[in-house]
Amino acid sequence: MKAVASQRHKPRDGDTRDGAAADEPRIDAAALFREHARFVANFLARLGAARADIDDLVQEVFLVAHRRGGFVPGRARATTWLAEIALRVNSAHRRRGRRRHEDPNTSEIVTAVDGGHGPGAQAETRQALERVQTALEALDEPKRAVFVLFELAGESCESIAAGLGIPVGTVYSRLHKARKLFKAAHAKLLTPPANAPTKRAVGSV
Amino acid sequence: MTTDPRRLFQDSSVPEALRADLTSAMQHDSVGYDAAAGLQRLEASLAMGAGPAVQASGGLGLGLGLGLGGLGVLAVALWLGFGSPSPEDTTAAGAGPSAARVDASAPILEERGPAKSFATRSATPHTAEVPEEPASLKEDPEEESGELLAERPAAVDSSPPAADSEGVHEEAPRSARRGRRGTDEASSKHAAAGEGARPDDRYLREVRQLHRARGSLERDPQRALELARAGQREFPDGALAQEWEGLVILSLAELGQREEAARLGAAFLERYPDGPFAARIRLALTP
Repeated sequence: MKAVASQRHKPRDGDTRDGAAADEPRIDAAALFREHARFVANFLARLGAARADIDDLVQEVFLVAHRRGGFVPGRARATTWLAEIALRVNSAHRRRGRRRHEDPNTSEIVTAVDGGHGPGAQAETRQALERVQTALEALDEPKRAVFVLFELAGESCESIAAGLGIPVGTVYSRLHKARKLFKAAHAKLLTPPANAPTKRAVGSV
Repeated sequence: MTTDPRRLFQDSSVPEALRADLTSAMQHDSVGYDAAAGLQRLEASLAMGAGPAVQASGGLGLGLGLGLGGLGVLAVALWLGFGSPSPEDTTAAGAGPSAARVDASAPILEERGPAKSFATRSATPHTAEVPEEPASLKEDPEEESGELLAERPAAVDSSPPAADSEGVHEEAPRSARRGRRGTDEASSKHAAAGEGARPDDRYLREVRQLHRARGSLERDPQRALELARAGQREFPDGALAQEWEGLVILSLAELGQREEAARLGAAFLERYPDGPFAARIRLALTP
């Protein structure tokens, strides 16, 4: 990437942030944004950030990325590195209590799926995304982050571990539990409530 | 080195409906996001001193503003109260509102709390308690606590958070100082001072100039074109080469020089078909 070569950023003397050598090439915030803004927006949405907050949160993520001096390629990928920042920004945002009180699922998914295939396919896709988002709600944030990064973003466990700054064993453990919870939550969504009236019963009234 | 487990959507033992839903979720964004607008906003923030998103909309922006104001007052009070500040204090106080704006950037401040404890906890590595590379996924008793991810100590070699927070803490005022003194004239002098300019100074100068050029696009496209071409000359290998080129094309389109705009636009879109400015350039070139 051009920006990598052009942004050889020499940190301060003795600066070993990110475990990088002082003359490592860094990818600057603008280049990161170009490549990964959509990933970050979607990651935040899947963490449960409200649609109305996502623009601001994405900005915060990349401003923090800028202040960290950009991304130095290493064991973590840019995506998992940004995911760690996104988690922190989202947690901080939640602690500030500014989370909008809205259903995080529907409005976002409607926006994202509009356009493209026919209305039938759109509806099916929307329902699928809603089920996934609802099932994700069953996971706490650390497990959800690992699940989303591994199962939906296709990241490797090693990259997730390096990006989030946790041992790879913890990634496996979180993924294992997240899968159990996700499967159970998803199965519930597909099973109609036991006491729901059947069509025949409704029709006979 | 262990092999990652098979992903659920590929696992035939997983119910078909779940696999189908996961496949859909992988293929479709769960939220629409305007990357071009977001990038412009980020550039504007960086151009103004790498502070928080000053154009932040809604509650978040308001929150940032309030936080900043409060910290500005605190900084002034401390400066007055302690009389003879250290050189760093002097700089921070001297930077006035601008420094407050940046130094008090909400996400950074919010991070400092946990980051501090994070740094402290890093002294006791977590690796000893959790098996590094289990052969398969299994339960980790420590996980039962459901602790916040941000509170976990760094145990992987490149894990940045503790050191990073320091970096964040130090970077912000430096950026603010750069942002405040960053008039274009000063920047030019800085550039003339030679190649000794730090790479991030150069980057911020490029961001600022791009922001100024972009601001001219609607009201004075000729000026925007001149600035964009000057930017391309000054920063031939800059991080924002794509943006400079896009701005040239948009300026040409605004000026009615459609042939040249179309020629450059076709080359641009071939190189960056999915770039954040692709949609806008396609729209500008539509007859």
